[in-house]
Amino acid sequence: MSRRGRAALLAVGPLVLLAVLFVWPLTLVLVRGLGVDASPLAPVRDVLLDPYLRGVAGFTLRQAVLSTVLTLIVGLPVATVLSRLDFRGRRTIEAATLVPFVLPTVVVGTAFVALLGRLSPVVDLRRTTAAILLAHVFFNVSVVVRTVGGLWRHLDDAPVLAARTLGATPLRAFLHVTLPRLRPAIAAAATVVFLFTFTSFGVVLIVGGPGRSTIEVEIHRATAQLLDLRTAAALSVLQLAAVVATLVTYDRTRRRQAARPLARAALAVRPLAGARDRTAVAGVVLLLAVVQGLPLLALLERSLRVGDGWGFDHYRTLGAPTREAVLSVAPALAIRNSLTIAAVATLIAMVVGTLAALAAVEDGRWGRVMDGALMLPLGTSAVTLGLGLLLAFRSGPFAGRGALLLVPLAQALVAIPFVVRTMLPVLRGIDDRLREAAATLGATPRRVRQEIDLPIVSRAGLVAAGFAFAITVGEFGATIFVARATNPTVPVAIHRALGLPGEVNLGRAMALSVLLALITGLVVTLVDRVRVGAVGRF
Amino acid sequence: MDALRVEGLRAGYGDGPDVLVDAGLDVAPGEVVALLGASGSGKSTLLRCVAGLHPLRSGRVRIGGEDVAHVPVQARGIGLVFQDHALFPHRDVAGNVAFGPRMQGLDATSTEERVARALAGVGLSHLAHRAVDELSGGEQQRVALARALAARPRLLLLDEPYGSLDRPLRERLAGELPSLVRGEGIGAVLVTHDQQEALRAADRIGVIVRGEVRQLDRPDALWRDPIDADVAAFLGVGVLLDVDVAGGVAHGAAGPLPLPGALRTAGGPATLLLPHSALRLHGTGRATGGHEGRAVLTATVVEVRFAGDHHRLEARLTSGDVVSVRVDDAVALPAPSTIVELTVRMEALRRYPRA
Repeated sequence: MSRRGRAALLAVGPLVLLAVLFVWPLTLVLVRGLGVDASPLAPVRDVLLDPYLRGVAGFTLRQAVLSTVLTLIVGLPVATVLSRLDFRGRRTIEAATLVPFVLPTVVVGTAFVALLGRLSPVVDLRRTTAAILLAHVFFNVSVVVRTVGGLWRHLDDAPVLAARTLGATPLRAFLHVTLPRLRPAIAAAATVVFLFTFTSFGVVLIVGGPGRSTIEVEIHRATAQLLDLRTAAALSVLQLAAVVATLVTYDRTRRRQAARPLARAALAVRPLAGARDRTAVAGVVLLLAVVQGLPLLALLERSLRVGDGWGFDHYRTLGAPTREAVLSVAPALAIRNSLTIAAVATLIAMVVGTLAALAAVEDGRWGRVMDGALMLPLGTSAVTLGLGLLLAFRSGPFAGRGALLLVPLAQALVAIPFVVRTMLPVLRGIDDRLREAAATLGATPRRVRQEIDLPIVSRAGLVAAGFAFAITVGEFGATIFVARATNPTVPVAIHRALGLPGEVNLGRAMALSVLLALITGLVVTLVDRVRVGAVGRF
Repeated sequence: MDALRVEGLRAGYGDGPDVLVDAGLDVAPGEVVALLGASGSGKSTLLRCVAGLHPLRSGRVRIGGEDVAHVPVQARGIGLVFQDHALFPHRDVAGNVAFGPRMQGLDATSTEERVARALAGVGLSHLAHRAVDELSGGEQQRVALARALAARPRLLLLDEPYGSLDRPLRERLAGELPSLVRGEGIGAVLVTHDQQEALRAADRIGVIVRGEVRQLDRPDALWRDPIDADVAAFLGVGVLLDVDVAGGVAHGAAGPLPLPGALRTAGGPATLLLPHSALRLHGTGRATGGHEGRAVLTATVVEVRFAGDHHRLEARLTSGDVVSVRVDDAVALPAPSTIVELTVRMEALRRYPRA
């Protein structure tokens, strides 16, 4: 069979899955939202004419812009210090900035509920826009630090020095030399943060209050509370249009940027010199401690607070069912559900993602098709995905909200792009000279596969599986649409517990959030241990 | 017995033309042979053919006297050091070096001994448990060398091993190579495009031009007696002049040059090599005009540069060729644009057929 034939064969599975779980559901959303079935564009028009929904759209945009600006304001100084100065603990701090980013959004929301509750006697920010913005900054700082810092660290210092010898002050050298060279990274970071916050769901749902609903939250409310699927679909269409417009604009500006020469390694990192450097480091550490450390600390503290004292009571009662609610299940069941579902979802994502990556390796054209097709679910909000799945599978083989396989399938869809992105470079790019080197050192072809190909690929596989698990176990946006009420996952259970009255429920939500954070943190840490070189870095 | 003997080697890529045309080479045990050539000359392909990583179209490769035509890569007993080292990213320094001994089925103790010895040999014992991507370029190169040597190869092949390093480090590492190779009693082939590196490392140097090893000789003999105009041009020994030989005198744009007896064989067109080292500035106070074994050429001074322990004079011959002449400090240095006379040591001239 030709390479192209093999590629096509390998691609069949992933493409069928994509068609059934993504293309079809999304088409249904579009058909509904655009009113193709009845009166064209009427649903969208109705949404745009509704003052309340117009307000929601406006708020969504405003909070996203504000969140992006705030995140840049906090993130740029951090990126500056972490990429320019070398000091003890730099790597640890850099790793710590990543922690909030890998946390499930529900955990982020809960942490801010805990923090704002604690602060409320002094300043009550509960259910305010400020709360949403703070949570978004907490979550997204690492995007700026990684994107901008990553480029900055590899910028050659020579042009700045040249500018200084030509009479520029440090500030002018920064403004006229460094800043223009950083612009592509800043634009990229700002775009990503804007998209994340524009489509933010879990955080806004939990932290925001009445009148602080975003499009995502409104889609969920229209579906789950008002049972108004027409409006939900129309909102999804608007949201999708905004996302596509942002991406197209970004792509246009990016293309105009010429590639700039980079220094080979981190040449420009220098040790601390003088009081100013030390102040800068201290300031950044303090900033991170407040913005990123405090919420996590508050979450931990709240989960351990019992009455006026401390204890593990909230953790201990996780095994008992909730008495206050009708459809109540024991949180322990949610934990079991989450782990099982995430494991199944990871397995599906690994199989499908690896097949897709293998198809891409076999044939370049199929590679581009697969790469583009499988990235689509990433560009679509999880809530839209969930709504589509709901529309598609209300009846038929997956009938009922969340027949057993639908939840892991939906979660797998979100994780597959990460699996492909991790596996593809490795499968494509095991340097042939590594195999040749092994052969000249006496390895037979079989030993070469054993000693070179297998370890490298399987490590990439572990990394991919780890990422997939971390993503699926905390997945909320799509899951909340398809999970069965009697069979919730941990994020769904946390959300539900937060909505119930009483100290016990709040305490349980906190304890569950801490557990979920620990599970995610553990997986990500393990992944970081096994990865080789640049494999699996995004 | 030769550590390596290559005869009549032809090789190419796909259906393309021969990249190697009748290439030949021999290396004695304990000897480093450098293969010097421009990029695309086929030198790396030759190395890959010897290693068994590239198929031959014809010809013969013997390693330690054994024809390796049907011996697969892993059984040839060679150590290959790649240009950017090709270290295994999933193994630490010791794990990389231990790879060869492990493939040979050595037990853990002997493997450890070999690793320790190989790392000590390149001065990296203290880095045994580092990840390879944490090492500097020079350290990575040493690990690659230690990895190749720990397998106890019969023959060491190095493909532009110092290419990614800066000049001082490159020359230092090249200088360390001969003693390592002699210590192991094996032969080594070093592929490079860098003359300084070849001069540092090699006992003999082979010049490869368009897929053919044109000349393989000791460095001094190579520079004194390039076998053809291509080799002379690649090495930059001197300028090549198009001349017509008649009556024992070479007539060309640079002026008439009486040829020594050995070069007078026949009349007709020829290419004459005028080595830079054969030229001297005609100092003041000396007899002018040619005398026995010498001829005189006129040239215009382009510039005079100080070159460390002497001066060099760049001067344009009447043919337009620029020669570089060593000037003893005793001589008064001429200013640019002055016309000078250069004496030619006739026995250093070489004559090649006109291409």
